[in-house]
Amino acid sequence: MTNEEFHNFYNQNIDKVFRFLYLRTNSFESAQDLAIESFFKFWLSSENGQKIENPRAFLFKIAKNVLIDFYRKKKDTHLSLDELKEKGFEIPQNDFLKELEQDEEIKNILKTLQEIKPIYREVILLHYLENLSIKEISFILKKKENNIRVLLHRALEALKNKLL
Amino acid sequence: MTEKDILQKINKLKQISLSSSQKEEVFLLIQKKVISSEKRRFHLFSIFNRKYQLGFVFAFLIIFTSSTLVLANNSLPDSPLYSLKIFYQNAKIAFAKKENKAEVKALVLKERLNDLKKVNSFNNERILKIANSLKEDLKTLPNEITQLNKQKEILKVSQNVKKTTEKMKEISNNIPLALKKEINNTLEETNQKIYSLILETEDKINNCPSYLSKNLEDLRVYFENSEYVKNYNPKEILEVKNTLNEIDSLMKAGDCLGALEKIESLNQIKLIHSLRVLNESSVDSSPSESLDQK
Repeated sequence: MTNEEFHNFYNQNIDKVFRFLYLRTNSFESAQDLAIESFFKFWLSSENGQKIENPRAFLFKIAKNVLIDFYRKKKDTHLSLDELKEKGFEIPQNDFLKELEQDEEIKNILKTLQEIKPIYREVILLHYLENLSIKEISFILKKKENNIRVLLHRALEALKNKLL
Repeated sequence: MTEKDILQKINKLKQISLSSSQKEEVFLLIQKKVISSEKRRFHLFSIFNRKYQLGFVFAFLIIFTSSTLVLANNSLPDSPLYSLKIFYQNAKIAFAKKENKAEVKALVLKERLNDLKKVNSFNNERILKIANSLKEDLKTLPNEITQLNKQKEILKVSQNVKKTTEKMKEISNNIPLALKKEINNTLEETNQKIYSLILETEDKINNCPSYLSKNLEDLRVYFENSEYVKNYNPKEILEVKNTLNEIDSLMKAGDCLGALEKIESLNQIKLIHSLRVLNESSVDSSPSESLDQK
């Protein structure tokens, strides 16, 4: 992948990856750091001559693994964010988060998404928010395509029931 | 709530995005990370980078092969690397031009004899095997020379090979007694054959016209005998005719040696033909023989 191709690929996918990471970390800084890490790892893989059939699906798979690493490391840290707050540390927050918090509808949908099964949330966000195909989702989540179709159907039903 | 309403709500989340300045900032940070990692990779692990791997593997193979060949070239028959030296020498003989093959082979055999001279113990089976193959190769030298077509070439190569085998005799005088006698005998035998080949070739060159007339007379007798000629197929007849025409033109041009060489090739056609006829007759007779035996 040339520098120009990589830049184009970055412009097409940065929002999606950032959103993917933000919705799973609830932290602007962490999502930004993890997005940098994901694109960096993608660049290394393409530079090392690794055969990448679907770059977008591959990037999301990297992002997912980066996220897993992030939570694994977080487990090892003794202080949680709440504990930090209690100790008087200021937790930086981005302006757009403040705006989002004021939007009742967004708050509501985020809250409802938190109430359904994590795997349902995952397939709904990947398919309806990031417009990834069933095939791409099956590659990212390492599940069969038929399985993803069933999960999507059930996830929508679950979401409907919660929103009623 | 319909599916459409849900999807509209989900799409609201698309508002979660970076501003263009934030995107540029993130991209710069990725670039910075890539550059620093590439610098580190190039300095410390460039040998493992796929871009350079092929080059490194190629360079390593060249260095490894050349150093092994150098080591093998300096090895003696009691070393395991010596078989590599023999392989290399055999390849040198195989790839030599036809007119140089006998000379190259003689030089290689001289080198092997020289190596045998330096070995202290001759009880090793490998050394005895090398000595035996040296003797066998020595015996093939005169045949290698007779494979050449031109008389002048045969004379020149024979003389050069003889010089080399003379030097080999000097070397063989210094090898331990266990092998000295056998190698000396083979050398003597080979030298005799080469010497007679030199004399014969010199004679052919000096008395070419009489050799030529004798050979032509033999050819006339052969081709006038219908028993011999009847089994020639059209392709062979054409080949004989062409060669006879060439002999005729060479004689007219006064090139006696050239004509003699062509007669040699005609003799080879005769030989091949007789072998073919012999082979065909044995194949034809074999089923009836087997029936008779039954």
